[in-house]
Amino acid sequence: MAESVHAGASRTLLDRIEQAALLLAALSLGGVVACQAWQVFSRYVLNAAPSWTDPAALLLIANAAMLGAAVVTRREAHFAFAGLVSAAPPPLARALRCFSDATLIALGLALLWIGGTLAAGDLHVAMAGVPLPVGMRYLPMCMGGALIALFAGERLALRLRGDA
Amino acid sequence: MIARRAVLAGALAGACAPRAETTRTLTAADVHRPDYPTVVAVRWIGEALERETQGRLRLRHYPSGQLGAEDDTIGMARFGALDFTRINAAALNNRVPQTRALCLPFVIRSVAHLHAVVDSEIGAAIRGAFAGTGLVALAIYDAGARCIYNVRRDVRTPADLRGLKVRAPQSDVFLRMVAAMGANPTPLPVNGVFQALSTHLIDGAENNWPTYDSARHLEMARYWSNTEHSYAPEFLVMSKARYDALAPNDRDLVRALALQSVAPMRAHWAQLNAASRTRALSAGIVESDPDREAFRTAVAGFVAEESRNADIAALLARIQAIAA
Repeated sequence: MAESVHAGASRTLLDRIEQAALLLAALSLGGVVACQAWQVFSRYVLNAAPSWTDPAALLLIANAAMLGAAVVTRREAHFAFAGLVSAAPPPLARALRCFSDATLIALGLALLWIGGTLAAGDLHVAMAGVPLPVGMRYLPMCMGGALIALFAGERLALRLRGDA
Repeated sequence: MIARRAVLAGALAGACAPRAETTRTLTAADVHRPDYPTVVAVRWIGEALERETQGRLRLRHYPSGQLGAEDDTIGMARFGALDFTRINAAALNNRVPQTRALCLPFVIRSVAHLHAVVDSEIGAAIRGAFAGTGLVALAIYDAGARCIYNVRRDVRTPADLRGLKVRAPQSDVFLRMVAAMGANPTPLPVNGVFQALSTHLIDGAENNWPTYDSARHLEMARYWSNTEHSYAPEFLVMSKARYDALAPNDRDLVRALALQSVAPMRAHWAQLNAASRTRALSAGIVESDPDREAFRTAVAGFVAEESRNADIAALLARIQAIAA
């Protein structure tokens, strides 16, 4: 009983994280639109092109993509080859699903590690056009990787317990 | 049957080859097209490398931006996912501030002056400044004199540039340089310039003759002004991680061949530069010689600001002291 309450609490926490990621992804997409709109307006109407709109939009789109990918991992709404799993007998299908979760965890951790290495190496270099460090470019990859590993881990735990 | 046996024998021979672990295929990237002088030069390095090592080291080149923009390939090289990449000095200005000395306007006076600077200890010092960046600078290649061209009018003085939107590379130095010269700088990647000129997103750009010609900017921008404001060169860099993974002899070989590739590259560049100019002039563009002193005065404040960095100021003084 106590254990299922605990599981329920961690599930609520993960729900919150998912919501926050989705909100941030949506805000990032809105930010991309705002950057591009301002870019067009300032280029054609004000005749003074800002240099920050392009790099900022690229940063935001990477953010939206990586957070979106993490949310999709939790919802199992991503692209998948389901043929083999649905053709396999139930025990094998379960093993295959666990294997796919484990692969996603490994992938998420790899993104976190690689993104972290790249970000840390470039924190002191200024980006051209925006007063931000180049390392910022790899932060969405880090964040997305961490969340993908977290959500795939949740899925694997639920599966091993037999809830999913 | 024979084929299968041959494959098996080949695999066995490969597995037993004593030097198997030092056999490597190195990768190189460039955003320029396959016949561009920098790509030809790096291919030449690859061929010489293969010949000198009896095929132990080979090079595979990915030109035309197949592996992404210059900035992307810097990240890949730093991470060890790529061996060589060719980067314009402008894209290195923030990472290695010393490269600014070669980009700042009216610092380099001519192609001969650039060669003298790059071949001297100054060039070696700037290449040495890459230490700690995860990159090794192997060679500095020519990129010609950058000049301003536009669709509107003959530009002779900074005043003629007022109100014109001029494309600049996504680099703080170039954006501020173009602004100091009197235009409204618009940052764009180079492969977007043709379209931007035809849709009047920009009125002009600044680049060298070969780009003006081969990227077809001359079809829209009919006014070429010989401002020759910057000789920002190209850097051939190698991933430090991949460099360290080479045997010491191979490192020396790569360094030596990279430096040897500079002379043929310059000859090839000079030829292309002249041919591009001839083609542009025969296409009926208007070439003019502007008041370079007026432009120099216009950017003096900007250069003085950049000289507040002691490293850059020291390099500028040494560059100015070089004759030619």
